[in-house]
Amino acid sequence: MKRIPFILWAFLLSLSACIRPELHIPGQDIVVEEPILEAELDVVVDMETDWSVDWQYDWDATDDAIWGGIGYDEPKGYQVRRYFTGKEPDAPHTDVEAFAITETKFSRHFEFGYYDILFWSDIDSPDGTQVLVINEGLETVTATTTGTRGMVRSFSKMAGVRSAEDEPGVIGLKNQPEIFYAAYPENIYISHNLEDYDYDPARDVYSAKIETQMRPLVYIYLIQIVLQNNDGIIKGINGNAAMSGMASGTCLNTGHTNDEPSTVYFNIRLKHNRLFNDEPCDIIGGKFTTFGLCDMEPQTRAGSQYNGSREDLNNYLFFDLIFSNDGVTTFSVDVTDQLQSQSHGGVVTVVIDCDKLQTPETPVTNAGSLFVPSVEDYEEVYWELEL
Amino acid sequence: MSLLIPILNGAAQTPVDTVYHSPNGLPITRFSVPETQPVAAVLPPASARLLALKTNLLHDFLVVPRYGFAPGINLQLEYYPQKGHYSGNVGFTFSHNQRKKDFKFFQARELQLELRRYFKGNAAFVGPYVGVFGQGILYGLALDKTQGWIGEGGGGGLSAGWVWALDKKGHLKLEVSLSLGVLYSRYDPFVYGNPITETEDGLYYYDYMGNAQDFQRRNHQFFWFGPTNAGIQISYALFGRKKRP
Repeated sequence: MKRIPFILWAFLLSLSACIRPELHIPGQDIVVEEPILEAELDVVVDMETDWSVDWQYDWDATDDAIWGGIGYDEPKGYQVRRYFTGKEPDAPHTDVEAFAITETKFSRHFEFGYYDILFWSDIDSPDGTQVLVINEGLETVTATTTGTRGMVRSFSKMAGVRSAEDEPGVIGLKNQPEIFYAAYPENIYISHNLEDYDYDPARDVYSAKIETQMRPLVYIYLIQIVLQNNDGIIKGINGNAAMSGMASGTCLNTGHTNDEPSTVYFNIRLKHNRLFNDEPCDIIGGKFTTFGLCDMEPQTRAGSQYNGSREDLNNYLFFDLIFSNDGVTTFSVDVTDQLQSQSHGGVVTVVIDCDKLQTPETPVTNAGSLFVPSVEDYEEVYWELEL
Repeated sequence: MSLLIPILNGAAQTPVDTVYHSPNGLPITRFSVPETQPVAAVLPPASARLLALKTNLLHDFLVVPRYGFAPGINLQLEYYPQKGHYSGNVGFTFSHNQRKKDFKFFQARELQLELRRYFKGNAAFVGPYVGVFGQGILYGLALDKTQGWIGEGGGGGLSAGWVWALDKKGHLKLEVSLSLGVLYSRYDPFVYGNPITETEDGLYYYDYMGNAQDFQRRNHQFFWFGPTNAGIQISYALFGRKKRP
């Protein structure tokens, strides 16, 4: 009787050892080398502004020759920074591999683990003088621009801070950045799981694809200053224009602009005998590019309203007008509302009734007497070139 | 047998004990048995059995959805103590069905231990009962090329049932039962053919696409709470007890 439990146990054990079917582990004879990741870059520009309708400056071949096209061009090459963060996602970057590609696809071996990859497009400066400055760090890469001439102006007014006041001085202006695009896919997991890859028997490699959308980090504003009733009152312009309160840089990883306002210098051109809303006028036009407003999120949809924390910064459009007696006056117009309502680029329109402008009594080259126009929000400043 | 019936019904009473003292002073309890009462009245019935051999017909003739008829062998032994309400039951199910042509398997080994309490006392072991049980199971199931599971599990819970005697001596019995409880299992899904190379080489593989060096068996699990077993059982009593002298 005492043996019964042992007999039962042995009996059950023997019966239990033969559960079928016999199973095998797949892939035991497969050695997984470092897989290949094929990245596909797609440049996405979502602009809903109909420039041909909203912008009546009538961009012509001469403008094109001076400033290039008014739209976003397809990049011709890309910079890639690959960060391997090991076995943990969101780990700090300890090393970076930098390389450039000329197509929207590239293949490369990857170790198993997590990767962050930063892409940005090469700068295509027409004259080869790139003003965009890329500042590379292990964790973030930022972009700024070089400086250009200066402007005598109260800093607080230049920055557009309504409540502040200080003494005028020479303030440096920034060049407008070249258009470029960036994308930053993070925590790309290179797994040991063969299910994540396609096997290419011809190359005997396992490969996977990532699709990345690159978005512009520089936005385009088209300026039109409509001179109504300009019967010779405004003789011409010297081409100087600037926009204040713009971010001086942006982060390529996040697309978020910094909180350091700057004034961006750009050029304008005058065309006579145009129509604006079917009425005859002269139109001053120009294009300027910018990282955007301060503390601003990257573009998610065109024409989006500004949601940053620096609504207190005003954006002034500065421009020179040359009067019939050769007097030069610099005007500033508050266009904050227009920029904040089109925070990722658009058309900025200023209408001036020249009948209400007063010709400077004492014309001085490159400077203008203080002048208070009849149009509200106009302020007068004068420019001083930085040598 | 006429004396047995009142005993099983609890009608017979033990006479008042008489206490004596041994020479060393320790009390000795002896039963005083009236001359008119037969000795057999306080002993287990002459027909009482030690064990019952049982089988669960639902396990023996199981029909599984999407598989069909999956016969098995279920054997149980129920131990009947000499008296009281409680019995112990051990059962084992052996099912070893496979239809290789259809890529179907239904294989199971189940061991169940149960402690029962019958509502009727005096070692009657018929009528309603409740019990507690624990079980362990090994299984290998496949319904087609792509749906297979192999694993082990265990659990426990409460059981209830009813036992009827089918003959006058109570050797042959019919029983219905239901078990409720928990069952926890760790398992691996498996498929026919190599899932990585997608080739059917006549072998079954774990449904795993990762690195073979990282493979760990029984990497899946499930937990079930609810009915865990049912039975329609036939039992036959074995091994009659020795009669007391």
